[in-house]
Amino acid sequence: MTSLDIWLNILGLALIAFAVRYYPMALLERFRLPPRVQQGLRYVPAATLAGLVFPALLTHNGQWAGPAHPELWAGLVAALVAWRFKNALLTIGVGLLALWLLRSAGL
Amino acid sequence: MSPSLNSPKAAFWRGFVEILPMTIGVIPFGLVTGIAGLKAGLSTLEITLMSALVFAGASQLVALQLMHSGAAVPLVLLAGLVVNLRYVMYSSAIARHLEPFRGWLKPLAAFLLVDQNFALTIGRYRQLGPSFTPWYFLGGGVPQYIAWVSSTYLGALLGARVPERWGLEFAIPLGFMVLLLPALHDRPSLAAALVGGLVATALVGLPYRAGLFVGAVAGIAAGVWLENRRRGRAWEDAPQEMKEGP
Repeated sequence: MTSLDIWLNILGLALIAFAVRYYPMALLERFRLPPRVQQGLRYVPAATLAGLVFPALLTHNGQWAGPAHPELWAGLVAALVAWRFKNALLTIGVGLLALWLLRSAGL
Repeated sequence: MSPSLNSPKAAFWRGFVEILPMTIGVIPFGLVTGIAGLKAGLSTLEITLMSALVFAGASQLVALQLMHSGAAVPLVLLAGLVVNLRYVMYSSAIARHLEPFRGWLKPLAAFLLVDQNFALTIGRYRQLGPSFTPWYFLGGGVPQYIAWVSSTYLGALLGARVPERWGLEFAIPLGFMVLLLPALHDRPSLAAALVGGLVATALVGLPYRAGLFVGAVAGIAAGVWLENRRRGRAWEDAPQEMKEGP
């Protein structure tokens, strides 16, 4: 990989990352989305956030992990804390602590 | 409940403070990305500038892995595009909330759009109201940016791997979990999460984290389908006089 290639990659990625974030909101100032699409956009947070959470709890190195996976149980404990206390720092703290305890218990 | 806001400045700082717990999860991710940069043959300067200019963790990590295996530039960029497709949805969904921003504030807000301040801002919109929401969003983006750039720099500087058994990366999904729960306010959104999460899990082996995008599309479809079905049924069950109207 030459230095030129590295810089082409960095600048290309920067342009792409900005374009996908900026153009949809900029274009929507001038155009309105059809109601069907607006309806769909309301489910973006639930669908994408679950897509970021579930694989971390259910898979290991790209494979289905099964029940003997400490992340699954630590995640469920954290979910309970998140639901009960609605506190981000507490949830992350308890989740990490549960993971360390489960790992040192040999799960 | 926190007191109501009276200025854009106060909204900015509330966003700044409220995102801090989730920012902790960014640090291990940044360290790993910095180390991946070293492996791909980038200098510390190049790695840090990459984070400062791109500011999209997953796409940087995938691109660096491809660069490490000697992939051609177009392939690296294509992978970066696929990984970042969810931002098209985020940007469309948050366009209305950022509507009041004019001039350079709009591209700045777009540049600072990440998973965390997107979900946090959408969740707080009703409480914040239209005029303070954009400032809250911007305030949430700043700590994320600082943490991202400095932790990748640190990762490149240290080079040594943070011991894997610490499991610090697990802070990332935990942070997303805190954001996920309030997004589940009815049955269609619950269905969207279940389908989105399970499809993303089933497709976790796909390259370029494409499973996340496919899962999101499937989850959205499930939510819309269930909402329309319930609405349709409520319509059928409604008394005849209601349908005919006054």
